[in-house]
Amino acid sequence: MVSINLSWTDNSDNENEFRVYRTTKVAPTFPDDYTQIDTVGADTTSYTDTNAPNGESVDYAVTAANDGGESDPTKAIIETIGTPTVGTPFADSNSEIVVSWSKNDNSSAGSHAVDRADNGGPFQQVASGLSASTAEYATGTHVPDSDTYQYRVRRLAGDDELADKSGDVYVEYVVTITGTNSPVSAGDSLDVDVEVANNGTIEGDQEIALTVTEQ
Amino acid sequence: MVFGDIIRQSELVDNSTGSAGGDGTTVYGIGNSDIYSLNESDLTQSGIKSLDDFTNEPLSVGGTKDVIWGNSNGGGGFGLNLLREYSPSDFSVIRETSDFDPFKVGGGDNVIWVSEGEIKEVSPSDFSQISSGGSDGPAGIGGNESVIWTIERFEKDGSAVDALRERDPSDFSVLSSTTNIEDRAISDVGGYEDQIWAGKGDYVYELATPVEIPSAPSNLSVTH
Repeated sequence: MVSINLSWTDNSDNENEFRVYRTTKVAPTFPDDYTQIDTVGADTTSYTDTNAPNGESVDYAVTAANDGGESDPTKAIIETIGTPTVGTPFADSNSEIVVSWSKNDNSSAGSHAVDRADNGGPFQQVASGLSASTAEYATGTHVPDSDTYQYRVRRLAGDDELADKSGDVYVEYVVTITGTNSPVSAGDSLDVDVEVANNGTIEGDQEIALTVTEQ
Repeated sequence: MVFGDIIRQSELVDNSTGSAGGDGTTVYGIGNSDIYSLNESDLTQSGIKSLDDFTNEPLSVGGTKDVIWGNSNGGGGFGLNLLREYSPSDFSVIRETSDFDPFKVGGGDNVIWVSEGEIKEVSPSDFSQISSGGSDGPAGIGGNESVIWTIERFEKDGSAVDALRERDPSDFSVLSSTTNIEDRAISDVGGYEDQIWAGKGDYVYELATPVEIPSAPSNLSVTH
């Protein structure tokens, strides 16, 4: 669920309440296709819908009402934000692990941020300001040390989360070194076996060939 | 309160015709050939005039603290009814005319509303008919220069249904209508813009007037 903020202009001084309606039907007719989700008191001009569906085209309507009846509605529509779905990480041509996701909506609102938790620790933001149309993040060159990373994706507007966080995706680095002895030195070739998993389920291994360079 | 709800009530003695009218100061009712007046503030009785004249039994009553419009049986229960002006002080008959055969009568300081086959507006000055139309003859009628309240009976699904209606004095068009009174068999209404007085059996009621529907809100904005 996502939160949607509604505001309107109060044009009457005899209302008892305002009624807030919502629908996800296509080309809806008021009131038949709408569901009343709440009422707010007289003179109120805003409301936050904390249970709006993710990734839908949502029509809202607000009416004023008293004992005499109900006014015509004022209406507005919004494309709500979807909960990102992360896919199985993969290695790109630069041997970087790439986290990808689907944003699951048609909205261009907000931006994406990527969080990472190292070896079971707390999540920390490692990337932000990725546009709403961005759907992948290269995690950077990792010096493998048999680490396990978890990644997740969030959709933000400023510091506000516009939708639920994605699920976690795991990347586990299992280092095997071939063609040289440990410790490695500049010029050695390393084969890194990367186990990738989505929400804890290992979905496969990927081999990454690295060449040790001197820092 | 919904249009037609009972706000308060006062029991009159043997209010056999169930008529009621008045304004924001005085309420009138009829019981057993008598015209009653009640204080608007607490509906206590402030006056009663036993006409004691069954050949001129008052049938309905309306008006204000300064004038009473009503009708009566024109003679022993037979023949035409009379349109009458009664004195607010002693309920004596000031004027009457047999030019109409009114079923119910109401009105204000400067207007008389008559139910006689249809709604008729009658001039208070000379009892001439000014206009007519609007309905088939309400079972109850009252109001003033700004509003007409009626009880109108119509057939719905084979049964008689009573509706309380607000009509526009200029063209008799229906502004509001409710069948909220249906189970109460209210026989007459009166009053003015902000109050409806209704009569039924031994009771005078104040009924809730229509509530103006609020203006629609505008400029709905939805954001994340």
